[in-house]
Amino acid sequence: MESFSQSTFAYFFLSLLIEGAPFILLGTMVSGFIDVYMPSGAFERFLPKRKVPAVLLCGLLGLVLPVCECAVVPVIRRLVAKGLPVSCAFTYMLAAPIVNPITILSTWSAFNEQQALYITLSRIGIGYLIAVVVGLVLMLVPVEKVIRKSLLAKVRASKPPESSCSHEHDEHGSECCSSHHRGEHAHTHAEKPEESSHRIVAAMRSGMKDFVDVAVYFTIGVCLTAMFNILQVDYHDSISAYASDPFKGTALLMVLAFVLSVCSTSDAFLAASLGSFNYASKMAFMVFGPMLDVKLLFLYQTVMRGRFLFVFCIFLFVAVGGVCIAWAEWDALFLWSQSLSNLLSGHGKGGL
Amino acid sequence: MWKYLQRALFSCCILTWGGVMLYFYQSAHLDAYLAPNFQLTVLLGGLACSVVGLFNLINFRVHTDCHHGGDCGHDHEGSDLNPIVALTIILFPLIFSLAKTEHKLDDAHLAKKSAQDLDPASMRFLADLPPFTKETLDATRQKTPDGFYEMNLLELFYSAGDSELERVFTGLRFETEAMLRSEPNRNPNGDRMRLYRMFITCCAADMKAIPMSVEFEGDLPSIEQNTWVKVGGEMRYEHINGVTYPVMKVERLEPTPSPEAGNIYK
Repeated sequence: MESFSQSTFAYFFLSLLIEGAPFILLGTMVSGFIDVYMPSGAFERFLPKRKVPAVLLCGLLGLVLPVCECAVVPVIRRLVAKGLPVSCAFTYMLAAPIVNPITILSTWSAFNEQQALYITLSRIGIGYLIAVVVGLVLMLVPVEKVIRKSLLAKVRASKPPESSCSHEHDEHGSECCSSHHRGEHAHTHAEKPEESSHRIVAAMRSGMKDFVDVAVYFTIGVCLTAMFNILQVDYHDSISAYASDPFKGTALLMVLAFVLSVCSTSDAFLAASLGSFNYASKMAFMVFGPMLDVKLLFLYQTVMRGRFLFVFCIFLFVAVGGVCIAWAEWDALFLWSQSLSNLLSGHGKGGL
Repeated sequence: MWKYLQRALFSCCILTWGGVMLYFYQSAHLDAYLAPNFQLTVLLGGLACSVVGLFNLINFRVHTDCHHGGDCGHDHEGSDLNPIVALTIILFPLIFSLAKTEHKLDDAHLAKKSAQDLDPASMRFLADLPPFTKETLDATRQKTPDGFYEMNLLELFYSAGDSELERVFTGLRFETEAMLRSEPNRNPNGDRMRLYRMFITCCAADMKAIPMSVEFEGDLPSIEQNTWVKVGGEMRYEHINGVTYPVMKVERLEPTPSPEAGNIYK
């Protein structure tokens, strides 16, 4: 800690904060509006009946329903309770924080002039791949072994009766249609004008709450990253030794991602600042972090059984690390993205 | 009552973040924190935070219903953390940092950072240099009256990561501006000093020192550490443990005023 200086800490902290804060706001506001305006049952209506295509599609749903990892756990908990298959819910939960336009934009921005196209495509590809594999594996695992007993009870209780509805729609609101009727009958809910404006207030409020929740972990992550960057100068040689080794560097950054718990919408800015690490390690940081970190470990306990969560964590660590290291060896994608970058930027070297 | 207070406090928290972003956007210090391509997002983020914060503050007493129905079972405003704890975690480091920042690295950190070596080949992607030949160099670069090509330190540094540029630049005479300090590495005869400038990719936390050794004939100049200098000399490259480092054999050196952009090269 001999290099620690309050002014340098403050300098690094503020630079990371003002760089990432706009993306956090964007992510949490989108999440707030989804929270209030999108009924849970909307998911199930759009999904294919067959499970494998449904899992494959769920891995891409983040593109139209973007949520960060903090927001996605309460959402899938609600969706599972409403009867969404666990395999689909987990695929969406793992992929959505990575395969979504806000994260894609922030990754692209953070790695601007650092092979942004390659990094962005790699992050999306690996995130999607891991999420789908988890989803497909979960199709083979009995649901009782995956989710908590209390949630399982809700799943069983939510099995929809086939009878036609007989309740008053004005009393139950819009969600009754999505969960029970699945849009198969034609009727409209009367919405009072002032209710519509109040829903905007509810959405903004929900976004604000998400913002504060995420900002807490982001602030802690920024503090730790600022400290890490200060200590780097004292331990430059040791860290460089780790950074130059793809296995050690990848493991170190995955542990760092777990500890820092930075939001997926802004973690790319931290990864881009870890200059001496190679692409595999940075990708592992950006893929593993949104799937598992300290705060998610707590949030996952609201969904998963303890024993399953343990296996799930080990699997994610090994799978993400292994795939990222193998992926970085895949020269064809690197060369293709580089030639595409050059084509888009219109000149011969360097590029996007 | 508690819910109203929570809403008002959360609104003020977002307003504070918005205010900080807007303050930095209009401040002359922003260049020291962020690369130019991130600066517009600070303005947009600051404005958006202010709008969201104000909107929620104005409407903090409005009763809302999510319309998800009686069975939705969720609370749109419930948080995993105690709101006071959350606000303390968010605001304390921010206020501390605003009070303590000097908008630059402290001297001890700068000294250590500028002493680190970088492998130019591993950073090549940052330079975006065209494929120079002697002819394109003549066509695109100005020459000083005494025949030195004018080139910035970053370009000279990154030329060591490209074998073609290395071949063209070797033996040519260049002039560049940077800060001067003692050379802590690769200095067996004690006849070298180091030129460096700081470089930001995204934000100050990823700042790196871009270094280049300069070699003198005879005594080292008696110039104070970290003085801005204009140096002219002949380029060559040395290969140590698989890494190529640029070295300039100094022919002339003079102190020069700090450029407007300061120490940070973007």
